[in-house]
Amino acid sequence: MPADSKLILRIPLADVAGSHITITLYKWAYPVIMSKARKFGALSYVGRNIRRRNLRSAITIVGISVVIAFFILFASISQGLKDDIMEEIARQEEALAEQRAGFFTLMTMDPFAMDFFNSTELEAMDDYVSDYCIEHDTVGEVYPLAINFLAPADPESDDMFILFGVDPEKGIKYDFITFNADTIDVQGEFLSSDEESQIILGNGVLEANYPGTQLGDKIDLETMSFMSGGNVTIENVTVTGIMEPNIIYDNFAAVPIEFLLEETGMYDAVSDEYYYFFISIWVEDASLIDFSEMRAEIKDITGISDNDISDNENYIKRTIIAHETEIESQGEMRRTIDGWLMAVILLLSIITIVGISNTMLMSVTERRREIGTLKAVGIPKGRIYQIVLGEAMLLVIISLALGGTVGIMLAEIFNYQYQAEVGGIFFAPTSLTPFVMGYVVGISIGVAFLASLYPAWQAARLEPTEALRYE
Amino acid sequence: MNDVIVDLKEISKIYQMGPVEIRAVDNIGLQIKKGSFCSIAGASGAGKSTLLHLIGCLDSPTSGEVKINGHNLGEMKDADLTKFRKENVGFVFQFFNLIPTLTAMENVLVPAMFDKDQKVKRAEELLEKVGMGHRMEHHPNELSGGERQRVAIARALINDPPIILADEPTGNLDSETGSEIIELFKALNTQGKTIILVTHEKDIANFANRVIIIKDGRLQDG
Repeated sequence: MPADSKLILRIPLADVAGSHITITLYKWAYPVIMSKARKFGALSYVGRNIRRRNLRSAITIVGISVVIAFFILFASISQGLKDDIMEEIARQEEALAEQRAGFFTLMTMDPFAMDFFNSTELEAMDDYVSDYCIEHDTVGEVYPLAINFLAPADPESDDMFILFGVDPEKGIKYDFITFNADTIDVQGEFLSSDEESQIILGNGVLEANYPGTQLGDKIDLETMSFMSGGNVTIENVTVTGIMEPNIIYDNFAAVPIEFLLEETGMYDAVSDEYYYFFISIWVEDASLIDFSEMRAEIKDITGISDNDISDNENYIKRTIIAHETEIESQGEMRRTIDGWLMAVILLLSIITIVGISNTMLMSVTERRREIGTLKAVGIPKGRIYQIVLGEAMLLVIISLALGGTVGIMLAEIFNYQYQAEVGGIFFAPTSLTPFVMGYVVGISIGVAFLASLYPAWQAARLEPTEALRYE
Repeated sequence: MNDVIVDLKEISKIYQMGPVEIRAVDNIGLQIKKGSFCSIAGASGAGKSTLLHLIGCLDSPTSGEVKINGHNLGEMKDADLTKFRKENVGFVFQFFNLIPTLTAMENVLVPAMFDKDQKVKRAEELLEKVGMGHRMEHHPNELSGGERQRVAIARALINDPPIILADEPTGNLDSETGSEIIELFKALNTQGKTIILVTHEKDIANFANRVIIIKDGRLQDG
């Protein structure tokens, strides 16, 4: 086919840069289409009937178009508002999920008593927490943490650098801190279980204590350990990771916990026991567990006193209630919007039904003789239904094209005003999803169908003799 | 009996107007032969049109039996009657009953508008045959009374029915044009169509081979 035998129209899409709808018109198709158009069928008859009463049809189409334009506007506003609400609910639920997390912290408040938690207790707690949480449909983890200080290179400096000893695999979860391979951005690698003598440095620690140090370099750590009662130098520790600048972790460094405990005298080689000063127990959804039950068992396992164990039960209760109230009120607002939309749909549907019914009834009444003639010449009842319903459908399809265009423009204007925060009365978040357009089209066609059923029934039940007598 | 196309046995059509019973057709028995040209004549209100509607299966009798082309209409359902009417009977009306928005050509095609076979060629031939070949694309308001009736006759013939029923086809035409239309019916009759024509004009009725007179719903003659 020669290239000049077709015309191509490209309609750019405003929403997606560079995208467009392509319409190809084939010149050779024109005579084919025109020869089809010469044929006379039910569709051309229906079309002529609309055109016959052009003023009434135009008024009806304008009326339905206005209704459809408002329908689209209201539906898109309600969808826009609902989208905003759903986003807020999702935010609240996400926040709630975080706030549902429960913590128990076990900390020996009197290190000089040397009553640390040992490996056996840690293991027993790990088993208990894991089993208990599984029973209660949630997840629990036990995180040991060793805390030392790194002496600043400048003795006059007020900087305080903290050296964590953490489990290389799990890291640590404690309150708002989640410190592990997934959450910490490092150049190089997070701690690994393969090597003991390794460290990851916070940016502040690197700049103050170890300027110019690069990944793979070995450094000496001057630690101040109040647990072991003095300063310890740990030599030739390999820098495997440097944390990206971070307001929380800049003054932190971390090494594998067992390595730190061994170097700072918190490991007894004879009994093969490590001694821990701080343990955090994290539960994913604390609303599913019984704090007092867990607390009692932890005390049993460790012999810890009430002063040395704390939890966030009350905080969780307060925040969960706050979030749940917010989610409930957002849900209530969503239901209210749905209610308003239903009321608008109902009102607009009634207007459409009255408009279309009236037009079609007038049309049928005026054409009694014509319909009688159709029946006399052998057009069956079902086809008479189709003719009247077809006319109503044609009216609504034309109205959908007109009203749809106006409605989409209105929705875009409202949304533009809303996004630009211009203010005024013509602004609202709107969302023209395929679902919204689908139900506007569906309801419009459904309502038109319902509205024309009675006139169609009136036409179909006309006796041809009665209609032919009608003058 | 095989050449009888219309066979009416003791048919009556009674309308109840409040307490008054109106016998529009009163116990009529009538046979019309295939290929005949009959006129049903009578005064206004005599029951001619009602009888025509009964023959054309537009209406059903209160009592009696209507057999058209060998089929007992009383045994047919509404949908079957419509189909039967489409295939066996062509109607021509006093007021032409053309659809004003459609051209002459489209009006002729109306009975076939839901058919798969569009019959455009047959419609053209029929319009040529009734002398309207030059006005196919004209709308009814652009045609004279006689021309409109010619289009209506072409429409009655589109499905090639064996019977043509005409209800006062010349009632709205001047005498010259009326005569032309009657000539057209005669031509159709010579081609084998059974023509049944209702009229209150004696002159027109006498064009037929058989004149059936009806008075007060009863057969008087014929």
